[in-house]
Parts: sequence; structure tokens; C-alpha cells
Amino acid sequence: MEAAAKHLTPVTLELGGKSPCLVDRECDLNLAAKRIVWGKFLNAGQTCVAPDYLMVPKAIKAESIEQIGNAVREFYGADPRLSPDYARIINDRQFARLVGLLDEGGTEAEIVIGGEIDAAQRYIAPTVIDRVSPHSKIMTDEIFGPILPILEYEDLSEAIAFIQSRPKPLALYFFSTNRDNQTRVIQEISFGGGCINDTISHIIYPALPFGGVGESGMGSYHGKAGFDTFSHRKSIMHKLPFPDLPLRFPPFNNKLNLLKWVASNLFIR
Amino acid sequence: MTTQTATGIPTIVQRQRDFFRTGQTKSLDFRLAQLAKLKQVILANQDGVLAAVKADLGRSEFEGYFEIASLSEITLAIKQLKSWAKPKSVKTPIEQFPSSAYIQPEPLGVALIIAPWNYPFQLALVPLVNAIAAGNCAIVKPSESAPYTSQLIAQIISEQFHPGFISVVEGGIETNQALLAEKFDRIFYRAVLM
Repeated sequence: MEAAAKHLTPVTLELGGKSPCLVDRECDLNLAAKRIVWGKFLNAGQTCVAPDYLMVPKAIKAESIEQIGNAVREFYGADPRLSPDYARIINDRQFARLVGLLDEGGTEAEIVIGGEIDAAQRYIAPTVIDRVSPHSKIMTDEIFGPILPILEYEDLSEAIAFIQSRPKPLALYFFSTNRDNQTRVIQEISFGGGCINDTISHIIYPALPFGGVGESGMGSYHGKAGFDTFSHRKSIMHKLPFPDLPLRFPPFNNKLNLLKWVASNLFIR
Repeated sequence: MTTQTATGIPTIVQRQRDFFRTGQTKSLDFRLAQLAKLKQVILANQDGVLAAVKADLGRSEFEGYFEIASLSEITLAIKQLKSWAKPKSVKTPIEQFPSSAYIQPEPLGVALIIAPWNYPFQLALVPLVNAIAAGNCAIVKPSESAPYTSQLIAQIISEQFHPGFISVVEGGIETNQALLAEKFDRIFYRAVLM
């Protein structure tokens, strides 16, 4: 940014942040679990728009964890290390950072799914951590890896308020079959873009602009939005030589009254 | 020109400025032809892309195939370019009668695209497609953290495109700094944790 500012270069910044995945009391939990596991553990969580953390109603938390565990086993087998479909962490630095995060969920945090690591392969199993503290490092840093912390909530207003209290995320996913709740979440929370009842898929369709808001980025691209990002919109007023109304030219003499009349009758209507 | 030293960067940028000034990229036919060529290049190198991404990230070929999704951007751009690039008329007020007013999209010039490592092909190529469609020259800096993909992008672009139009500069943080010391008309930076 600093370098760009020196030359006054316009900058499009695609950043990230902690993209919440919010599960409503009213939803198809089995379907939600599959779509969450897919979006989270795709590329071993190294996706800018991956769900960063999960918020579920307290009453269905246990069932959510069970369904997520089922989906992980269904997708990647009992030992995801052996799955040809599960990616590795890009480099040792990222691996060390992520392994560090496993212990950074706060004093009550508990790994309920996964947690296995293999440094030689830079492998981290699809991992779910329950009872994380909202103030712990894992809930303040962007995770960008295959670790999914879970927060529980009592009612939707509380969950919305929690997300609103944090930096505007790049993506948000809401799993719900309740129309009113869907509308509430979309209207009340600011975020780059997202899905109702899915993860990731809003960025796959090039007709939808993709970009962040606030801390999650500036500017957007894909399709027409990308064309606009790399274009200048040049405004042209093309006038004919006649007539050349003398009103705007000095000397103004008594033209002010005429201008006032023109303004009140033409401009302000 | 797969590897550039920092000292060569001002030359690369200047070559793009000169190319942009020839006005070639303003022609829609030129842009459409380049987009079609890029599509062919990606199609011809699909296996190489999948292998490079697998080498960098251990991704399955199925997931690796998402990298090829930049093709859908090209298809859309080819289909829509004429409409996107058309001057858009706006209504003029009565006091400006007789007149017409319009908005004419025009290319910015030379763009710098700094790509991340997590979807190392796709996230370099999609903004490049957008930049080409809009009529810019572009320098692409793939991520050094995904070296196989970076090398592949450099190779296929330098083989097929005029360096004044599209150049790939490989390297790490020093290269980024050397690039950012130059003036561009747009910087597109997709940041992920290093």
C-alpha cells in the first residue's frame, strides 16, 4: 500500500479474515455438515473463503459435531493421511504456525475430531476444536488451514451480534431453511460475499463480483467487475455547436434572476 | 525469460509502457484474439497445471482441476467483451440541450498482478483475464511459495505472448519490492499468509 501510495497507484486488495459459518437451528444438518466439511477441508483449508469458524446453536452442537465427523470419514476415510484427495500444508512455516494454533483455543478447548499431525508430510488431519474461547488466538487469527473451531450460541441475535463485533469478513455462510432468518443474516451482517446453504460456491460463478469489504479487502473482480477494475470510466459530454445560450457567460448583469428561475424550475424538480 | 533479476524490472515495465502506447491493446479484436490464445494455452497445458499444483500443494487432480476454472472467466469475457467495452449513454439534462453524454471505458495501462500460493494458477490467471479483457498490459508475479506452478506460468506465458503485452516475473519478497518501486496503473494484490 505504501509503495502504491508513492505513485498514487490504484490498488485492488483481496485479503481474507475470519469467515464465519453460521448454522441455524432450522436446517438440514446432514447436508450442512457435508457442505461445511467440503468447503473447510478443500485444499486442506488453504482457501481465502474457507469457513474459518463454526457457530452452532447449543442445542444441536453435539449432533453437529457428530455429523461433521461422519462427513470427514465419508470423504477422507478413517485415516485422511492415506486419502489421495486430501492436500498438504504449503510449507514448513505455515505448518508450524498451524500446529501452534492447535493449542491456542483457550484453557477449555478440546479437539473433538482429528488433531493428528505428520511434520514430514506437512500433514494436519481435518480437525475440529470445541469449547474454544472467543478471545483465544485461534479465534482472533485467520486460520487458513484444516482446523475448525466451534462456538455455540443460544439465539440468532447473539450470533449476529458476535459476528458484527468483529472485522467484516471476506465470506459468510449461513445454513438455514428459515426465510426470515436468511434475510436477517444477509441484511444485518456486512461481509464480502457468501452463500445460503453452501460454502465457497459464490466465487465460482464469474457473473458474481468477488471481493472483500472493510478489513477483508478493497475492490472486486471476476467477470464484468474484473473488467471494471482494470478500466477507467471516462465521462464525455458531447455538445452541439448550436444553440449557444448566452446565459452562462459574463457580463452577468441581471442574469442572476433568470438563473434562479431556471434553477428552481428545471434543476430542483 | 523465466527468471528475472531485480535490475531488469524497470526494463520490463518500460517495454510494457511502450507496447501499451502503440495502442494495440485498445482494439477489441486484439483482446479477443489474446483471450482465445490464452484459452488454447491453458487447454494445451492442463496436465502440466494439475501436475504443478499437485507438486506444490499435494492436491488431488480433481481439486487441482479447479485451477482450470479460469477458462470460464475467459469464456464469459469473450462472450461479453463487446457489451462491456461499449460506451454507455446517459441521459442529459434539458439545460444541456442539445447534447449527448456517455461513459467510455478505457484501459488503464500497465497492471501488476501479485498472485498467492493457495490456488497458484487460478488466482494468477483470473485477474490476468480481467486485465486483458479491459485492454491492459500486465506483469504477473506468481507466488514463490508454489514454485512448480510459478515456473509453469512463466514458461507458458513467455512462450506464447509478447513480453511487452504480458510478462511473468518470478521471485520472492525482493522481487515484489523491486516491482512495487515501479509505477503501475493498477496493482492487483491477492494477499495470503506467507
